[in-house]
Amino acid sequence: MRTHPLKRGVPLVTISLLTAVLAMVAAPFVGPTPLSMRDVFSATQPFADNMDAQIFFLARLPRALAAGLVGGTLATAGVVFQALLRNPLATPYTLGISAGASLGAMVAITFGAAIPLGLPFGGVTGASLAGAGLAVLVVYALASARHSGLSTTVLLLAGVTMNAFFSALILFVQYLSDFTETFRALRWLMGDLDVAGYQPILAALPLVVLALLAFSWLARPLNLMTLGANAAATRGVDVVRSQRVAFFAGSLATGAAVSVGGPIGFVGIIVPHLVRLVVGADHRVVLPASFGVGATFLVACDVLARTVMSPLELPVGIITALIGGPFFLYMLISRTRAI
Amino acid sequence: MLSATDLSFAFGTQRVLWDVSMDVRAGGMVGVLGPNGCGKTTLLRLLAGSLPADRGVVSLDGRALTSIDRRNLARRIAVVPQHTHLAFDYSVLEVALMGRYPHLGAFEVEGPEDLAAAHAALEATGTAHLAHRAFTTLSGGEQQRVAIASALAQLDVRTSAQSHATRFLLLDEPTASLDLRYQVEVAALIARLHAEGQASDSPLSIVTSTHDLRFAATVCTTLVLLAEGRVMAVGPPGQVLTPETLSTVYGLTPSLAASLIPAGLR
Repeated sequence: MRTHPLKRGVPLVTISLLTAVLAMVAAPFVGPTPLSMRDVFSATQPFADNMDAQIFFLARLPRALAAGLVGGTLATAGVVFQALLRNPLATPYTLGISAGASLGAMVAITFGAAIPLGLPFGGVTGASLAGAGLAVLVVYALASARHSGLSTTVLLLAGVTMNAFFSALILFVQYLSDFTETFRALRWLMGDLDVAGYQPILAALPLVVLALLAFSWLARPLNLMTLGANAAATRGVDVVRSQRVAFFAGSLATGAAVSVGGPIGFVGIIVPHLVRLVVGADHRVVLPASFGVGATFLVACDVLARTVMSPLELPVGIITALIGGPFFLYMLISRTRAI
Repeated sequence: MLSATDLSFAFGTQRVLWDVSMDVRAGGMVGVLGPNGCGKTTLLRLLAGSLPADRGVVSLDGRALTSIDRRNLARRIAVVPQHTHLAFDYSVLEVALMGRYPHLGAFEVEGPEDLAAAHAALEATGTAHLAHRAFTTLSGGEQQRVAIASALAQLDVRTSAQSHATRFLLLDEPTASLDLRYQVEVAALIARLHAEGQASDSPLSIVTSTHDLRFAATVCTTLVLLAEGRVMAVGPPGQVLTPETLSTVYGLTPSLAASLIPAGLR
């Protein structure tokens, strides 16, 4: 009877993280060219002559790792934004971060050749991070203008407005671009994990690690903040600081994930919801478990994207949207019925 | 002692409290009365230190609340809000454990003492059998009792150095949205907690805002009657609940006001 409620969570977190690692290692074996494990890890064949190893390590493994990193990051960012906004239907994109990132990417794709942006990690990645940063600062300024903390109502409304405004700017930039640029831009907006190497992953990794460290500090304050800012404050939570950390760390995670894979939708809402159904609501369990399940989910979706219309490779964002759209509607309906 | 001196507060240009002064003594049982919108909730928030006063000071044993570390403060003063709305499905035990927040370090996990405190609080409020239920599935009366349990777990200082200091439990209209049976139940629970608090090493002082005159007359030792943000009367129930004060504050005819005063005070 007197067991700690967290005890149940430890094995679940372990399983979810192990599954994610397994998925990332197994996914590269699936694809139009079958690979044999013996050839991939062959010690006798030099790497330069080993086709199987080259496909595995240079083409497919980076993509699986990117899927894992992006999926896990978006899922945990979703958890944080849902707790910050006290709304289980919030996503990492609710506050306009992905729209800002997309605008940045569109600008880089369309005008990148004309204006040397001089940003790190290559033009598009850097520009999408800069766009995300711009959106974050505008939304933060709006939500904290007349409050000591962050007003969740203003956050939500500002986010919705920023999404609409940036979408209009994206269309404007699209209108100015030529056919090839428009095609590249559209592919980027669909959300694609065709990262072509480890470089984008290594660029995003420090940002993600920083955000995850902040999340681990946030886990308990987030639990109390679901009681409301007032109730959390009377229990000794520094609400203003926790809200700020949640907002900026969640935005950092989202911006980093979007810079790698584009605005891949629905991972940040499906995964946290499913995880809560199994492990309960304690963020000390929900956050790490969501990382594992989110990583596994996106790796699986990407395998589906690569194989379902083989040899054609679909952008993974289409797969997550096809699964996520109906799921979101189901959630909306089942929740409104409960109210 | 928790005391407020000349508190004034405004939300923007809307003045809510004017020069409110009141004391909550160790072991006191204070009722805050007054019409809707007279500033009861705001006064409780100022007393808890979760809202800074525009003018005036709230002090705990002579120290201004603003100079006390928020976690130390939370171990002395706990608040039960009018409604507890949870955005996610926490279990009753988890809600009670949330009260242990100010007793733990940033990355510390609740230990056996925290679990014991949470279970004791659930026992005290008669909700131990609900420990593994989801909070959102409980009835209003059960939710209110669990919210009180969470506050009690928060004030449980048996293992800390402050174990002889007075603890303050602030309740905002704890019976407002409850049906008759739960009103009686929660009122009896508050009276019992207060009585038990007097018997323990660290006395429990309770401040509760209420519209229930019978509860105010029978359970409270001191009443504060607010009207439009000002203190109209302070003192023992017999002095505060008079036909004159009630008719002025609530805009009733003197005969109707007199008929509302609980039998014991007439």
